[in-house]
Amino acid sequence: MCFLSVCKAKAAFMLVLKGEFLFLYLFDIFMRSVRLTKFLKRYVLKMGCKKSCNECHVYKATRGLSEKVVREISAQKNEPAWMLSYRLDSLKQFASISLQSWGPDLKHINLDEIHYYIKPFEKQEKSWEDVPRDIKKTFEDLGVPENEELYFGGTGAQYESEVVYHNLKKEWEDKGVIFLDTDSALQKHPKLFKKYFGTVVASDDNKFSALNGAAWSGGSFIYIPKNVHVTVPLQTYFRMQSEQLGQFERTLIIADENSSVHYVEGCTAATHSQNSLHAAVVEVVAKKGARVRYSTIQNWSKNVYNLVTKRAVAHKDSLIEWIDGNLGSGITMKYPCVILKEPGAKAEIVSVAMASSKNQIQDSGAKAIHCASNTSSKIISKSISKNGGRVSYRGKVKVLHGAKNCKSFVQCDSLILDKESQADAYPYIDVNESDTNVGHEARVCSIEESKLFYLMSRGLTQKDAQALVINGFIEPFVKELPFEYAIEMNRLIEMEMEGGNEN
Amino acid sequence: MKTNKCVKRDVCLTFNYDCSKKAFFIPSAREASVSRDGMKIYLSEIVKQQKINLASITSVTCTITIPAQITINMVDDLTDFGILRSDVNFILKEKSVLNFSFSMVKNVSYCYQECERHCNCPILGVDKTLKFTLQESGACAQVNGNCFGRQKRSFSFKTIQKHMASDTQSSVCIKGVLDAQALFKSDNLVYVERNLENVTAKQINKNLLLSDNARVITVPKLEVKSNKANCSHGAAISNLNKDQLFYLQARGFSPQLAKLSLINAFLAQ
Repeated sequence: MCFLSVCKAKAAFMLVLKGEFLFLYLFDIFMRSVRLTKFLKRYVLKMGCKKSCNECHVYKATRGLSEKVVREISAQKNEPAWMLSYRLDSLKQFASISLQSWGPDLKHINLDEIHYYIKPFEKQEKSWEDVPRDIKKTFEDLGVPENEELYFGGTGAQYESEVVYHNLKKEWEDKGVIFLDTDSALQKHPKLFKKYFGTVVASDDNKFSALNGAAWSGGSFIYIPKNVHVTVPLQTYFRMQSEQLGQFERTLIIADENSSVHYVEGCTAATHSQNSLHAAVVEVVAKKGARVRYSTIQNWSKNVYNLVTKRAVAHKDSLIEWIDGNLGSGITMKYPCVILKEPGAKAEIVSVAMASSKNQIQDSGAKAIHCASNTSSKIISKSISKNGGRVSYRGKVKVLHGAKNCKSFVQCDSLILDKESQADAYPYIDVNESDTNVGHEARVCSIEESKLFYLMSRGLTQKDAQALVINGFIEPFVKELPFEYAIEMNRLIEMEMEGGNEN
Repeated sequence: MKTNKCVKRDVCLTFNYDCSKKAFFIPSAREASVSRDGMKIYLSEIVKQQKINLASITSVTCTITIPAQITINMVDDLTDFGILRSDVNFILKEKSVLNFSFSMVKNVSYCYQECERHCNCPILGVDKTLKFTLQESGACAQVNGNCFGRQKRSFSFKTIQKHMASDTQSSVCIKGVLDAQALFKSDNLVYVERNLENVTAKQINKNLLLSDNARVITVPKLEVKSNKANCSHGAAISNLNKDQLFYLQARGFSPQLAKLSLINAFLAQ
């Protein structure tokens, strides 16, 4: 009897202990979510902050792009001669390449009215304390410094054309990781820079990559040495504050053999009446056995043209993952590409696009070029259109002659939520090798009535039911994001949904 | 009806045709083959009715109207008469049904043997444009096509499923078996106009690549402007399943026969 009661007591005690742990655990989660909600509220509220945020700069290039402007940008940055000649060559190519004949109409961009370079401050800071107050405030409102401590291994923040803040935790610096803004990298690691710069995306690739080649400024440069695994994500935040600004960031990521890195980028812009242009070029090189994951959540204001060239080269047995979320901007044209150059390389591209206002066009997609045997690619694209928005998936899968045993799977699903909206899919599949397995599926539909009915019969309102179905729809994308971004993403989608209902 | 010269030596026939014409139902030797599903109509018969010698033309451009409440099974046999280029526009009226099929595989085993022997077959390029306009509600179009590419043969198919009315259905399925240096190009568009309800559109393109020198380019496109539509497309490209080949060979099929059976099965599916 005595033994039994002891056992009982023990069990009860354990229960209490467990309960306590559970309580602590729940409390922890609660606190975290409180912090997150705070951050999100600010993030979300300030997303479209009006002109109240001051435009501040120490140097502003005249409108339009000319040889003089390019020379001035180069001089401001004190660049080596080869870079200046690269810029000038790109400028010539930019003039000679015509606008693409397919896709959204870009004729409304007035390239002569844009400021191609705005330098907001004198020098870049390593501590948030030293960042000019106005700029710091913008980023604090977005929650950038707060989250650096919590979630990231390194953070950069770009304001207009230049990177205002860049910091990498010492732990990673000691292991030889380089995480700098692209301009500093050119000064500090010229050899490494020259070896890889422009090797993945040539400046004459398309009109806007040439434009970027001529006017590039800022962006991130990441080098991960052999066998180093960066376990926490590195993040850069891009902000456009001025009116009629052109932001041309240039990002270069090199993951040496058997290394891994996760890079996260977030983009927002202030709301202005005049259009701005964002034409970035991103180059990623994954060496043998390396693993690179590149996550983007783009939430530019609705008058930004977002024309981005993103491309990665995957060497032997490497893995490249593009996780791409497009919510903002007026017109987006972005097709993350992976060139599977050596055997065993893998590519995964997961993207979400949402066009939620009239005349908004999300023309996004993915490309996988199989150049070697035993390579595989998987593309999952989810898009949602409402309020007269238009989402298009434009993709390409190419298997070159001689690339044996390649596998490629493409799935793109679109939801159209109302009568005015449109969804398209334009995949291009070109196979030159018999020993392959290529599959493509696409589907366009609205939310199934039966699903809504089921949820509503269980007591959800129509709006909640709709939001739940949409959350489920984009789940393959959200689960690839870091925890805090995943919540942010769901919230953003909810916001976009709510915004529409008010109209 | 008018005949005009498109390119030098290329004679192009252009005409409009309404299937409700009584003249259409004159039985002829080919037309007499009545199948279980109803009467089969050969496209060549319609062309013949334009009072022209089939051998004298190389390409056809026509618009064919399917009147309301009528079901038509149509077979495109123009390639059998050497008319390699055709551009046919179908207009489907209320509650009409069109079952359209074309086959460029007469006899698989014959095709295949010919391929194996590497005989010199001429370089032929088939170029087909098929446009299905579902103009009034209740219209339904089903399209099945297959082709077998040998030597340097090239196929180029362009299909458009244009939904202009509610309660319409369409499905397009094209299969290709490609050997040697054959080239297969396919450009398929599904278009759904704004403010339509209950529209179902499907489009499938399957290809078997038997040789490393064969090439497939397929561009299935969707343009949907209506939220009450259910549209899907799919494309698949691969070689014969090795496990299936092995299975058949383990049961005593020769490699040749195993291949042939699988190709036949693929086309018959």
